[in-house]
Amino acid sequence: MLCSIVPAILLGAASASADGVGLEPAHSHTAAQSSTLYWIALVVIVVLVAAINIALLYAIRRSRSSRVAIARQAPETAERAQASSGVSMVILGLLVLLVGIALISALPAAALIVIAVLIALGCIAFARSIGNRRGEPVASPLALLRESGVQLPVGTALAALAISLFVISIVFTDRAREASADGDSIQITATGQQWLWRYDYPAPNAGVAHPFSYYRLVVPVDTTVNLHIVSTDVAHSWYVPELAGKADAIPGKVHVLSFRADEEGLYNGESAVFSGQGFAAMRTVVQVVSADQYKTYVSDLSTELQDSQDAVVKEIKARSEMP
Amino acid sequence: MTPPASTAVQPNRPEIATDRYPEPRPRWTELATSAAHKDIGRMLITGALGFLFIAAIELLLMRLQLSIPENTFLDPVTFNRLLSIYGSTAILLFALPLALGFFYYVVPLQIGARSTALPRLGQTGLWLFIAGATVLYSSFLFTPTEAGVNPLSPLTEKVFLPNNGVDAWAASTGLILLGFIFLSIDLLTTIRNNRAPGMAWRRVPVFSWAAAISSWLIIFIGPVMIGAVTMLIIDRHFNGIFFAGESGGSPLLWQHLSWIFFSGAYMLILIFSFGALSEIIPAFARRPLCNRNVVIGSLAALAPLGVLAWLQNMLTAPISIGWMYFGMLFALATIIPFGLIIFNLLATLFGGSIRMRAPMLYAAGAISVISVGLASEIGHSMVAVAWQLKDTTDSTAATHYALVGGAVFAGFAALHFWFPKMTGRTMGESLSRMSFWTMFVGANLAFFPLFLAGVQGEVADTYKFFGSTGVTLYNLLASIGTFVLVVGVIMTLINAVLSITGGPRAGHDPWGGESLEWFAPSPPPVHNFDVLPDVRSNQPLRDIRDAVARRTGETSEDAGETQPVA
Repeated sequence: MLCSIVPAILLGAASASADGVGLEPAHSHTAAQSSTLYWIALVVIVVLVAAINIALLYAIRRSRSSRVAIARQAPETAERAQASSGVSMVILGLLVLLVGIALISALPAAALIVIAVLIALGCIAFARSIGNRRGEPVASPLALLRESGVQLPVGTALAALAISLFVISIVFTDRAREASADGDSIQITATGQQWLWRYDYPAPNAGVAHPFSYYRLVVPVDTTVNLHIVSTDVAHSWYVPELAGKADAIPGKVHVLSFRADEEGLYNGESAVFSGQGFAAMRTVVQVVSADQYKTYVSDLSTELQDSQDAVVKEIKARSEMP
Repeated sequence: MTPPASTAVQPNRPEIATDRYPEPRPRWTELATSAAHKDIGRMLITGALGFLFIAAIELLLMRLQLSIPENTFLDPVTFNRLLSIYGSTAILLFALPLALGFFYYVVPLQIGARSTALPRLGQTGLWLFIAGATVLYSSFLFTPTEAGVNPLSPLTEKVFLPNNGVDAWAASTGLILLGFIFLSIDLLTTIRNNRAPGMAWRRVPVFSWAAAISSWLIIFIGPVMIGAVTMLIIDRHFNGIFFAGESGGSPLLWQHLSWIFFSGAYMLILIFSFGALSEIIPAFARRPLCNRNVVIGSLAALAPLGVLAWLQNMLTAPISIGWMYFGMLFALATIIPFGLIIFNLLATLFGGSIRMRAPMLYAAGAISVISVGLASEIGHSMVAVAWQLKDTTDSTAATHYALVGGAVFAGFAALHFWFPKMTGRTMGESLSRMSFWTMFVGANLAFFPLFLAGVQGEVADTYKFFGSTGVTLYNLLASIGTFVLVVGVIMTLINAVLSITGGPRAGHDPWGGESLEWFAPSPPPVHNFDVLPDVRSNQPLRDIRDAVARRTGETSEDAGETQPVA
């Protein structure tokens, strides 16, 4: 059965377990927004794939069961109909672009306006040239739309789909970005190195060593963490699916990723950008603890570091004083 | 009486005056020195299919390594080398030359040209491609690149990868793209200047439109990538700091330049495949393509939209959110042209009377496979979803569905469709069918589990995964599926080789096509056409059949339909 396999697998997988096709369970506001948007996308994808494959299968079965007479069209009629539906396509394209661009006024507007004008001019020139080459006067836009038949509804539906997906994505992405402004926040630096993650915490109080850890990041629960992601060598990407999306670490740039964990626990993460031989082992783990435990952890880390630094200093002094 | 000047076909004039035949030279000498578009096209297609075999083996080796958790079949360095070479092979040595090869062979025939406009330029393009492929694969003599499919800076800087593998990769990419640009210039000039009398732009077949659009696309994106690899070589050997982050360069610059190229290449493969499907499906549904101009307009829209969507690949990079929405806008806008093309192809099938021969089977399979890839690309375009799914195996699966559907399934549909024209023989039908079903099952089994592994967080391009992450079963299934897919691909390659000499003979027009290439004998003579027909519509061959029918008094329903032997 041609092409029935894909929708069957899709539907089967979807019904078998929502767990299997869903993202990792979200434990932060940011990840929750991504997850919701993902479900919307998944529904759209499944519907589109199913529609295309079922239509394909149906078309093939139908033509096999009843031999339809070979369709014949007078070539010139066909040409005319096709030319006019080309124009409707162009009009549609224009419409979509203008609406889309109007929707994202947050962008560097000037660049977009220039692009839009250029595209619009190109479309108009194209539309006019179709009419001129046929050596006929350009029909009224209404007549063209009428001739184009079913293309217009289909094109409009696709445009509506694209625009609504665009708007929905912006809404959810903006929500995901505001990892709740109220309450406490801390700033931690995550440094990607071949092939380790290093975390630098703010010093618990002045005059003590500045604590850091490798591999394991400890953060307090219900606190906004502003993770400043940097790299000292090649490109990496910090990726802990349950807490936040991924954010690339690019040398020379600081990439800020904010998230607020809503439950204590251990969350696994990895590096998502290919970085060479040890890439597969470049993993990390985030431990979310209570605020008190976090304080204890950081000050213990700090004390430990201070002690070992003092020991080293003492050792150096002792050696230099040796005769 | 002379016909009107505008429609007159010039009488054949003797162009060579000779009193003896030229000495026959060995066949390989003829091929190697030939600038004829059919020879160049055939060599490109043969080369591309050869590299498809190599890419399939490389993919199979990688999947073997990834079949069980923490496998030690390959060490990380070998895996990374295979991965990097596989990326180049699949895109630059298989998919793009396959598309260009078909364009180069078929387009002059379709538009009624006796040769391409700039044959020596095309020939140079072919040999630059061969030189680039040689440079890439000769790096196996020392140390191949291990920097990944799209080698992101600054991993490619000399500090991190001091050996010459990256240089070989950069040089070969530059050479190959320069070759593709030459071929594209030749193609574009040909379509612009060498069309048969009466072949107005609106009568140019969809596949030739796709060729013109693809040529423009390569002329735009090729130089961007050539510039990028040149800057990379300057960085590596002349103390340049274009991409070195610590010394003031910008690693993001590489990402922008390379993604502009790769997004364009992705679109080019799909433009080729939809162009080919727009020829194949009407021929087998025995019905003109629905809304030809909408399809052509959509193909033309894909090129700029696809390139402008390059930021869709950089949604996790440190760029401002506005630019992420910019990338998302253009990526989502491609829904409209893709949707219209697929809709019109399906609409053509709906009213048609379908013959399920091998090319049609592959065409239907291609639509099915591509639809999964394109639909799941929607998820990767939505910013907050991309933050979760980018660079996971979910994106590997989406890309492979689109490009395996586009280059392999639609590419094989094109191969089966035009094989009789190139060799005079049809490809064996039963082996084709077996190969198709093997490939179809294999491709879905190979790539679908990767979607599921991706949403569980499995990162792409790793040489091993860990059993604790719950993706063991998915990876095993994907490895089995890849094996099945590779077996299917090899079956078609064997079928093609065997059919060159052993296939059933095909006449001028085995499928009842509508465009001019079916007017020429199979295989076409050096000059393609003895007499160029006067083109009166976008279905010139139907006009010729009708004219023949009128003259012989038959009904036009059955005229000119030569059924193939197989």
